[in-house]
Amino acid sequence: MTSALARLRRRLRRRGIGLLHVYVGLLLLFLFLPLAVLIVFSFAASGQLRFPITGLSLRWYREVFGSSTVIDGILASLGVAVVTGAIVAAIGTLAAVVVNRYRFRGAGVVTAVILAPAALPGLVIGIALLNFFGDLHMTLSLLTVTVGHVIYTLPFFYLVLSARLRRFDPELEEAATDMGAGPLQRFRRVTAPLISPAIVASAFVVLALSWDEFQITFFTIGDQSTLPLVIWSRARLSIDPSVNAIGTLMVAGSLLVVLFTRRFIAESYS
Amino acid sequence: MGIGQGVLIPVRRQRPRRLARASRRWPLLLLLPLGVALSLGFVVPLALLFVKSFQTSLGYGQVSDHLTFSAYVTALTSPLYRTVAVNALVIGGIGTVLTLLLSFPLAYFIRFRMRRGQNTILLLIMITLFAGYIVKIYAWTTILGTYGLINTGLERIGLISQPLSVLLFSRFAVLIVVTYLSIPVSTLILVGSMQNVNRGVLENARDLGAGGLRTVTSVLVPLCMTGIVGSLAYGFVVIAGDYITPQLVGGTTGQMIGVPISDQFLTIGDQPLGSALSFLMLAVFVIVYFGLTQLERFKGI
Amino acid sequence: MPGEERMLRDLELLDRAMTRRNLLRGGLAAGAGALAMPLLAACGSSGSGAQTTGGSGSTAGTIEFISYVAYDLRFPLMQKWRAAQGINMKSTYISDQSDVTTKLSSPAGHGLYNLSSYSAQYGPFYKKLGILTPLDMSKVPNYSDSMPFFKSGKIWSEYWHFDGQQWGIPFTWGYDSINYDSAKVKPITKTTDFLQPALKNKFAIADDMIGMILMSAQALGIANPRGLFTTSEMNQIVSFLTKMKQNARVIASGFGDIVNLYASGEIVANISGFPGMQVLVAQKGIKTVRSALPEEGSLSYCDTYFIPAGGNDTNSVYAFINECLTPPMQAQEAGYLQAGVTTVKGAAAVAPPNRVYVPYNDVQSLFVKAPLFGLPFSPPAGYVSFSDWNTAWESVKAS
Repeated sequence: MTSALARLRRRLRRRGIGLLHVYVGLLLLFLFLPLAVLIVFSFAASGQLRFPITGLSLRWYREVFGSSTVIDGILASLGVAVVTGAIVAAIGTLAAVVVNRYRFRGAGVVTAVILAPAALPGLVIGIALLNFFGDLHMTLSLLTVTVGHVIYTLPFFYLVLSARLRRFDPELEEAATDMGAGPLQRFRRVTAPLISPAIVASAFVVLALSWDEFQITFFTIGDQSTLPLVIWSRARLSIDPSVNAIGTLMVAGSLLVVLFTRRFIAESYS
Repeated sequence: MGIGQGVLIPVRRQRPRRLARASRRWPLLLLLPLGVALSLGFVVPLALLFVKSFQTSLGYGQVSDHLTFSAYVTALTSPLYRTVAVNALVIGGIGTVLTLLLSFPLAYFIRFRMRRGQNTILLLIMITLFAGYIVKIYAWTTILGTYGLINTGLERIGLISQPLSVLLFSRFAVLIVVTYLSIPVSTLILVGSMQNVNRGVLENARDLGAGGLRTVTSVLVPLCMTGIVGSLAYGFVVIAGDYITPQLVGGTTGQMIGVPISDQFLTIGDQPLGSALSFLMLAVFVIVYFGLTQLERFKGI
Repeated sequence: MPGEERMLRDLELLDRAMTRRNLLRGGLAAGAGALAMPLLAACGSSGSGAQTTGGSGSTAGTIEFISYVAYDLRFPLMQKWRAAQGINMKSTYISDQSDVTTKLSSPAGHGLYNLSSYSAQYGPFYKKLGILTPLDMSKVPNYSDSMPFFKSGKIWSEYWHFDGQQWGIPFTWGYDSINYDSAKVKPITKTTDFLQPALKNKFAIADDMIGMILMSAQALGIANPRGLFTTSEMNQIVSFLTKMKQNARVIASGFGDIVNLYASGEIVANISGFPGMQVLVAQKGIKTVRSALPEEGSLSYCDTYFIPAGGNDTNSVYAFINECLTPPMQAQEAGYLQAGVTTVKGAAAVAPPNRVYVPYNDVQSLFVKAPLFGLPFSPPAGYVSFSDWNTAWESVKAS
């Protein structure tokens, strides 16, 4: 047995496939297995989510596209994601630029406070916000959901943007200053064009996080549901492949978005 | 890029630089929106929740202003919550370590062993992240179930004659699913920190005679300790605080502390108790973080 | 006043718990609205022969409804009737009965709604809160067609007609049962069967606090019509339920989960269930699920329309309530709400597939075996309160 295994290993080695390659392959298989199951079952004709699959059908997709709650959920999620992205991009860029560029007392504290929400489970953030809105007698709505998303995604935006800002050469800005550019001009002509790809990339992280967010949204949601909550409510009533269909569409959607924006997101590895 | 006449610009180091400004105050103004947002959205709500944990519960949504420790006493002494709290810590601990062990080789491979296509594979991993949290959990029930993928497959091969019912609705199921959910982010964190490690350092180590694994453990690990700690910390918080996965796949033995906490707020209405439990959970997390940062200091460069 | 505070608190908690149970059904009705369509088609709409009040002129108006999804009866036949009468309906949906309590007892909510519902046991409490309107029964002539249990007798005088007035109109009811897949397991007839090794890891417990506590009390022989238990009795119930939980595969938070668990083969039985489970699981292709009333006894529920104090356009509301008691509407409701109907002619009109929800042939003895239990809002000294029930149930779930 062992010699057969050794021969296999040698043959693979010759092709440049080592143990690590096998492991990575298996792990990727593990990562994509649920997605494969998800996609396959979204075409299952019967409503049962078990093996074996008896027939194929598009009925779940028809149902999903015909469902106004799903469409409303998609629109709500999009709206929240876009607004969250805009707010976080504005606030977060200012913060990241200031903290990364200027030395001042308390920079550590500021960074800690910015990152703190990422250190808490969504459960606690959601509860704290629910409690807060209750004390304020505010009705829960997509607005309260957005607040939660902003708090949750801000640290991630900040982290990603800071990491990219650190790789930028400040020389360019200094050169502009030396040439007599005022701060505003410098920002407009040099800084902004340089860092906008980084901002866009970080903003996409925010969009993606907000789009899929569930644990905080669960507590701050009002009458209108975002897509994850729509999926949740559907699953409460009856788990059938329409949930899979929505999931498959989400995968397809994120694939499209990622392909479309590769330019911004891709980093160079040296 | 123009250079001012006759002005020599000194060579800059690669490390991040800060510019000293004559006026220190105006940049801070730019932080004002952030300050407002974080105060209103984060600091104040948490503070209010903390206060609530000391109030007396009168039932759903109602509290009296009478301050007391009774919620904390109940939370700490009632055996009610011990099982689920222990479950959360154990599954959180094992889950995050498992996540790290599984994603580290993947991150290493992506960062150091791939010439091209690194972006592609990272993006693919990100796509698994965004397939929908709930949907992914349900997909696992199809895989782990009594008539799911694994059981059906093993039975076909003839390895088992009865389906393994422990695969689903158990602690095992919760562990598998939460680990699965955390691997993508952990991989990204690790790759991020490995980026700061120069490929050359690893090659030097190998030239000096260190074997493959030894290179990794004694050279790479200390260098990306920040990422490792980050991955462990993030994984622990997310896994131990998950209140959905245990509900969906935990069955009767795999419940975790997040479930009764969310129940208190959404269904039962003893908000001081729910708040007290939340802060106790946070206290434990802080202790864990502290431990992890000690780890970093111990091994890091 | 501490007593009143406590009562209010317990009332709130009652709302929460009952709501969850109702949500198990009501939420299902919403999604099952689509499922109910084939059932509705099977029902058909039998001829009228029903009494309708007045012409469109006097009853036109707007109903401002606040209660569960589906209790506003938006099935086609009713929609057509309302359109003909010129009655609009604006619905606010709740997920908890406590939302109704809160909204109606606050000054801001006064006058905003003119139709809502309460679970039978609430009657006296809602009256105490001052949110009920005494009903002008001359405007609901079809009420006289109600089954005896719903228009006379002890329960009637406790929950619907007291202090010389009628305060609510019961319109839908059902009971908790045991469900099992007859193709996979022998008929299960007792609650205590769920403690047996034969069912180990094969059934689901519904996250239905009131149902589970009362069914366990019945099994232990300590059930009390007013829902009063001493501390030691409660401990007995808790340990009974804990044993059952340890024997179970999962505690399902909704009937949708349970249906799926049957479909994916994870369970062969569930408790607490309801007779309609077999209909729901049949939608997924498994037609062998059955329902059984446990030998030790069970519990019933009954929802009741009422007019919140300060409501306007009450003529429209009366017309609507009266219409929902007509046989064709009752026949539709049986399928739409997956529950029992309350009138005699209505019951006769219910189509066979929808007769499964309650035993129409012997309503009286059902209420003996599965009473409409009282709930301990403000129990006398020595008995556990409703909030204690919550704590007890949480401890079972977390154990």
